[in-house]
Amino acid sequence: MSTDTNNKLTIRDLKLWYDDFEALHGVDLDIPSGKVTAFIGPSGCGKSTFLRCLNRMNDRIPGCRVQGDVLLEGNDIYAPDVDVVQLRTHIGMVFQKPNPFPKSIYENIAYAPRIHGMMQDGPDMDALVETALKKASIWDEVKDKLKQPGTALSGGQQQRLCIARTIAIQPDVILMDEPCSALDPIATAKIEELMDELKQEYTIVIVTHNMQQAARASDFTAYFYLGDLIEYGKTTDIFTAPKNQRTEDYITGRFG
Amino acid sequence: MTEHTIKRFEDELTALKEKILCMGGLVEKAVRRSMKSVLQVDPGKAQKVIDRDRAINALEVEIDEMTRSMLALRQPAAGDLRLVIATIKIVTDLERSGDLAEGIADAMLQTKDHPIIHTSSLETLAELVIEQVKYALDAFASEDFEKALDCVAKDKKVNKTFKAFQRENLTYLMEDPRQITAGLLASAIGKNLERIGDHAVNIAEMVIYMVKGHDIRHVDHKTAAALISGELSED
Amino acid sequence: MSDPLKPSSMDTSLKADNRKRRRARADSRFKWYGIIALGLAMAFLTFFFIDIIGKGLPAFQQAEILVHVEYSEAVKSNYNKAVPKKYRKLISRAWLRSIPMMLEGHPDMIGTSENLWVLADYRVDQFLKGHEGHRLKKKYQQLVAQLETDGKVHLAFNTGFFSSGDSKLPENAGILASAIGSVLVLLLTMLFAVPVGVMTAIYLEEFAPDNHFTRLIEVNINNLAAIPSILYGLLGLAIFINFMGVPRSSALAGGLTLALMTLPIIIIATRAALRAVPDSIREAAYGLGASSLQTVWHHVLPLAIPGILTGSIIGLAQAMGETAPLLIVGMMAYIPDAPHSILEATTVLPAQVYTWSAESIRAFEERTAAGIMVLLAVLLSLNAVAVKLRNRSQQTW
Repeated sequence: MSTDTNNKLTIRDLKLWYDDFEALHGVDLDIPSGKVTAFIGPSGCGKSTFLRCLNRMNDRIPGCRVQGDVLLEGNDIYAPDVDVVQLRTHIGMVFQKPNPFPKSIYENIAYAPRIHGMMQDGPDMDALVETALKKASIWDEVKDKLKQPGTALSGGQQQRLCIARTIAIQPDVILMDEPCSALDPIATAKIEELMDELKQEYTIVIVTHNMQQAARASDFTAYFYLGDLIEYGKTTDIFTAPKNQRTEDYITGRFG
Repeated sequence: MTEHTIKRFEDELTALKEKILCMGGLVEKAVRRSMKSVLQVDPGKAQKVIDRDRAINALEVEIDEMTRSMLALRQPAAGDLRLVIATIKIVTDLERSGDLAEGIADAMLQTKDHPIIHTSSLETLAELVIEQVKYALDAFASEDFEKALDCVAKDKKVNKTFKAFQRENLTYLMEDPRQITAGLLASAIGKNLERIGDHAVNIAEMVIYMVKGHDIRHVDHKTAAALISGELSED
Repeated sequence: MSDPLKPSSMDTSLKADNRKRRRARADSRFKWYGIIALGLAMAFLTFFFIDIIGKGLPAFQQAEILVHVEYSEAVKSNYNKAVPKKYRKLISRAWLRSIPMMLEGHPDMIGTSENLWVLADYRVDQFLKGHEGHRLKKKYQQLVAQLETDGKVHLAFNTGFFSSGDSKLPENAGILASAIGSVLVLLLTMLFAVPVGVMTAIYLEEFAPDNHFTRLIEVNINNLAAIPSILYGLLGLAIFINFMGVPRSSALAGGLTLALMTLPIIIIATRAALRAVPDSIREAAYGLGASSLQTVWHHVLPLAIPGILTGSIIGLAQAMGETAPLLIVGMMAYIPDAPHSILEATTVLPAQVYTWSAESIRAFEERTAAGIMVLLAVLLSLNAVAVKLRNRSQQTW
């Protein structure tokens, strides 16, 4: 990749260990601002692990050690004075399984702004909830049932609710860990459409098992294999003429 | 390249390649045979070319059907995608070449009463073009981009030879007005040959796209070579 | 060679062959073993219930005699003079003994007289209920029969069973003192065991690092849940009574001891409830930048509460039915009065049942059974609450 100044995240020589097992062997990657970047690769290749390095979700895992630099607009997120809580308001995350809190739809959105002291309950909060739901393209479906539990929604709606919940903390980057793996094709298409809209304002990084999804929804694609970043480039290039034979084999389904 | 995980997809890709080569073989034969009929003044051969064109057309339809279903059902990517796209294009070029060979055979049948006397330039041109077609098909068969580049490079010589042939033909026409019909037919045959050569170039370019992923159409030969060797990036 | 896995196109018969029939028979045999085992268990349970209820039900009625009571001055010094001499032996001495005290409280009653249904002696009670071994003398038997035809003796609902404490006289013995003791002990157990147990479980499950030390603690907690309960009695005796100086036989000593016993159960149940909360909820909270405390407090714990309550109630129910450790801390004693504080000597329901069952007078037998019935009723309702809470917690996310 060229050294574009428009990079949101810059990763340099990132290595990660689970106890003695080295899961990532030094990854260098620039994630451009306002684009959708997809990580693909076979199971266990380290793409999810890498994604979780980007907002330090791996901190929770005992025995997990990270070395190298992850810079969010030039600021090292692994610096000792970085507050993880603060970091996660800049880099939000959406998970594989839709996981709304078993509370009302309204509460799901309002929770994070409240605990971060961004806003108190009241008309402002109502407006924020509405905006977040609108940005996640789910407002029309839920505006009449904000007091109903978020868990009563369909899978696709739940996932969009989770995206809305992440948007509510006004992040710069949204990480998505296989956000559509539990959804049907229509719900998947809605999420992909949503990503396309959201990238106007946010930088989106998505891990996916579904190569077609990476092809459809992303601007840049990175192929991981056995803890190495094999190839990274424009999605059109990766999917029509990858430079690396291993990428080619994986993308065409000849993996092995 | 390693085997495809889905065996049937692998089989389909192999079958597709084989069909293209089969069609290419028929076209090459048609070109050869049509020129033989011209040079040996053998109307039987010419008729054979015209009869056999139906087989080429049938193959075109069959291959189109295969690529369509592969695009719809297999969603090929990367190398597979390039193969399918190249196939779609190559098939058209082959079919056109087949038609042009048929055109040559048709012209030969019209020379019954007006035999072409001066055939040596036409023969040279035919040899060059047939070689070009052979190169393109070989390049496709062995996925050999260097051979494809050679094929593209030959086009200059073909064009030069074609121009020389036209000038020569024109002098014969001017010499002897009785030769006008034969001369015009010879000119048409020459034109068809030259266009067959152009289609061969198209095929070769598609082979390069298929193997290397670079689109070298409408760029000069030097730039193309630089692109392929990776010295230049596409943007 | 032919393919052994080739679908058989020849044999399309859907009828069972011998081997399949044998298999079907084995199936039904297995089902019947289960039914027999279940039937056996049901039979034992039914027998137990019929026995206990048959023995215990009469205890809820008690014989009373209508006598003419005179409150003369002399009664103050000799309570026997309050009733006609003829009936003296038929009347509960426990009631007679209470007259002088009552008169002291109400001096204005001296000199009056009234007809009163008074508590009968346990022998009369047993005789009326037709129990063997009633020990009523022959001459009194005739008298009671006479009274019965006159309608001057009857069986009334036994309010005394619920309103008085233990007594050496069966007709006067009740469960009030032990019930209050049980409530106090249980409250103390809950107060100590639930917060400590729940906090321990939360720490171990949500915060503690996974190392050899925490794993050792886990193993030990699981083992503690399985050790004989009497050892907790010994531990309680050593720590609370001998070392910390908590009064013997007190509700505090009993409550603390039972809390020790209940702790592992509550910890294990709470950990299971916390583990049942899907990790995706924790991830969601962490992903939004919630701290560990906020994650546990706002999201994990509310989802685990029904499970925690279920475990706690089952643990407390077990504590309530426990006798062995209380024996060691001195709660298995004759304590007729309800305690006024947690430091006073007290007894509990199962202990009361046990003391009654050891009495030689036959009349205590029906009290024992009645006590068991009360205890069972309380335990069953506690378990019902636990089941209800568990059903509520069985929602999925």
